[in-house]
Amino acid sequence: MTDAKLTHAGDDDLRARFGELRAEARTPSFESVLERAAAAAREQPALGVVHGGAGSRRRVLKVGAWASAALAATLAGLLLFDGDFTPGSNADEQFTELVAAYSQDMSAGAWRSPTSGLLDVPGMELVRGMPLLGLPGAGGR
Amino acid sequence: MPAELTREELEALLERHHAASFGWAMSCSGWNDADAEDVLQTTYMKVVSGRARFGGRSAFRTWLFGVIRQTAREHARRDRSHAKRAELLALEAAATASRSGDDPAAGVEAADRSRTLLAALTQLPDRQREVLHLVFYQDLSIREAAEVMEVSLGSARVHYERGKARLRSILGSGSHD
Repeated sequence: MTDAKLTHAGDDDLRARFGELRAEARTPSFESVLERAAAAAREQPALGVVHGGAGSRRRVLKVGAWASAALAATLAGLLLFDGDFTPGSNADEQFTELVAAYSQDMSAGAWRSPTSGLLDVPGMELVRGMPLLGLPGAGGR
Repeated sequence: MPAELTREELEALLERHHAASFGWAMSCSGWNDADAEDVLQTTYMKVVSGRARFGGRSAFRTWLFGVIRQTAREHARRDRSHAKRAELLALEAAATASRSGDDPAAGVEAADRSRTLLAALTQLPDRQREVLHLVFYQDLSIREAAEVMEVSLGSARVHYERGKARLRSILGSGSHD
């Protein structure tokens, strides 16, 4: 209120005039206004008048119930999904199929000439293979 | 102040501030009694039904005045009659000012002064009128008025100073006597 006192210094004229205004106000009775407010609330049942302050707790409980139901539904959905589709094994199968397809593609793509068999002469594997040096019986002495 | 109030506690608080609330509702409704009662009724309905909740972050009266102000704006959007009422008040005050020297009776003079003040207030911008009412009629500090009006303290101070200057200008220098 220090703020008010500081700023009101020298404003007694305005304060007096507002005071006259306040004195002339014809305030309706509190009970009549409240009664009409309650009646209006009853006419709009969606508003849900609070009785004894329990409305907020009721609302919290209602929200909590909805949240619990949503969580339970989500968990159930996840469990069902896990049981039916078994994501782990499905991934393995997909990988196997992928490797098989890739291998087929590779073999299909490995073109061989009709006369390539002429190059398969006896002893050719010795030329294509890597000599094993230093091993006994490998002929590399 | 607890955040959760029972209906009985809310009603007791509403009753304690009823007269001040009606004055503020009048100010927010262009000084139309019927509109002010409607605003107050809707406000009470909001409070007791839980649509408007007091969180305890400010004084109850400050919070309640904020609800009244918001409700009055909602009503004003639906019904612009208080603007017409303000025009009538201005016309009435002009007539009052012209005959003020003819009637020396103190009671009538006071009533005339009130009407003149109301007419002058209707010529102020909303924020200036609001802050002057809250400070001089409701005895709130400028800080509390700023909370009700949902403006910064600095802004409220500016509205307050400008409002005072303009009100005095409208009322004339005779208001200092």
